[in-house]
Amino acid sequence: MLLFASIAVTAVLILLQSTVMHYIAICGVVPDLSLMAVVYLANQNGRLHGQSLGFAGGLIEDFLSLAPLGFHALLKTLIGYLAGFSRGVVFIGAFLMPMLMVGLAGIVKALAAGILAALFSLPLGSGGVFSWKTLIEIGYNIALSPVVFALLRLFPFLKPREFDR
Amino acid sequence: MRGKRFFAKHKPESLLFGYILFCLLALGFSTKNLILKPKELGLSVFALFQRGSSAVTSFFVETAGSIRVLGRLKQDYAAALERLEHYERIEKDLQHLEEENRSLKEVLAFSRGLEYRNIPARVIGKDPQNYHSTITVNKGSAAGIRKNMPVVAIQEGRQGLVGKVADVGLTASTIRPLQDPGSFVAARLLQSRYEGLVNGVGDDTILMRYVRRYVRANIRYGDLVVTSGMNSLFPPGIYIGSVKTIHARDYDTSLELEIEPIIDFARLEYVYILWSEEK
Repeated sequence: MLLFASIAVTAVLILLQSTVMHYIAICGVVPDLSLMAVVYLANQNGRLHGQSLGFAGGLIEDFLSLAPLGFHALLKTLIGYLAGFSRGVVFIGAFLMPMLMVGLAGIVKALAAGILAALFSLPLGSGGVFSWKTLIEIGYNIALSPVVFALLRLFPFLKPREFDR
Repeated sequence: MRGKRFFAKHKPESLLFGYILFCLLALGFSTKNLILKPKELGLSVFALFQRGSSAVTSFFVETAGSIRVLGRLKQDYAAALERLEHYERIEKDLQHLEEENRSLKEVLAFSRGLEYRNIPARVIGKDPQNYHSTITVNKGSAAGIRKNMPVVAIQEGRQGLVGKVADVGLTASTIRPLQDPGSFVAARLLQSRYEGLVNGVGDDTILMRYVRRYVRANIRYGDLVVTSGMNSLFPPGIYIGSVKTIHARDYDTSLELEIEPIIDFARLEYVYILWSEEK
């Protein structure tokens, strides 16, 4: 049930990313709200939850994008799995840890996207690994992470529980 | 029994393996481009880092070059200011005419004014990520839309190419716009009639490639580029954009033209999906 609730919240964030967030894009770059949700919920509920949420969220993004099926799913699964290791180890405070974790997740995402693009000859345009767009996205994500994490804390049905021991 | 115990003990890793396997297979099938050869694999991975180091080197080389160019630019700037005043006067007249034209087109209804049978659609979303330039519209197969149909839009009274239909759902479709790196359109320079291939590179930039080098003298900044109709996908004569920059590299046998699209993709609200046959 917790997983379904998490997927539903992530799906709403993805829809926001593809619509309203384009109005507040910086140089055409939108923040990755779903990445923040995956990081936060993986930290709260562990690897199993994080990777399943990442997989589902990534698949939704693949459906809405020109990306080949599996591209975002793989990126978000990896991030969910890796962020899940922080459960019980990293306590997410108000500012520093959300920003640090989301920043790291952004770097992992960019590197993994670059490797996937090279392996499968995917045309990623200027959004590849070595681009100013990636830097803006990581910076934007870092700046918004305390707000998004604070909003996610407000949902009672996303509260952590024994799930991945 | 041992297998079950192993799975229970390593549940997250087993599931992760399953997810990754699914994604890789899906990517392989979607792109039809699964690389299994070790040489290509190594090249692909290491070339990525090579590109990074090359980008850093070019940055410094280009910076040094830019300083030299700056001096020359100062002189050009003064001359350009004079010309600008002249053009501003012309632009005011043009704006007046365009405004009049736009309002007239609205009265006539855009959809009926198009040369080809079309389905009007509204833009309902864009790519949730920054790696692609997807545009989602509110019409799908239920409205008769099929994959690869050309898409145009009208802005400031001018009709311009947006891209083509990439995927079709029942009530929504995704469009691959011109500036997407996976977009290729056979094009022609309107005045000189020379052909080339228009290709997006992301970042709102589109390039016209494979224009013969010897035609350089016949191309001017601002020349219009239209679809050539050489492939059956896009009907001929649809405006794509105008020439913004001309790159003629010493080592290259063809020219590369940077094109300013007719359509401002950031302001796109309505599009028209065309049937190839005329009305």
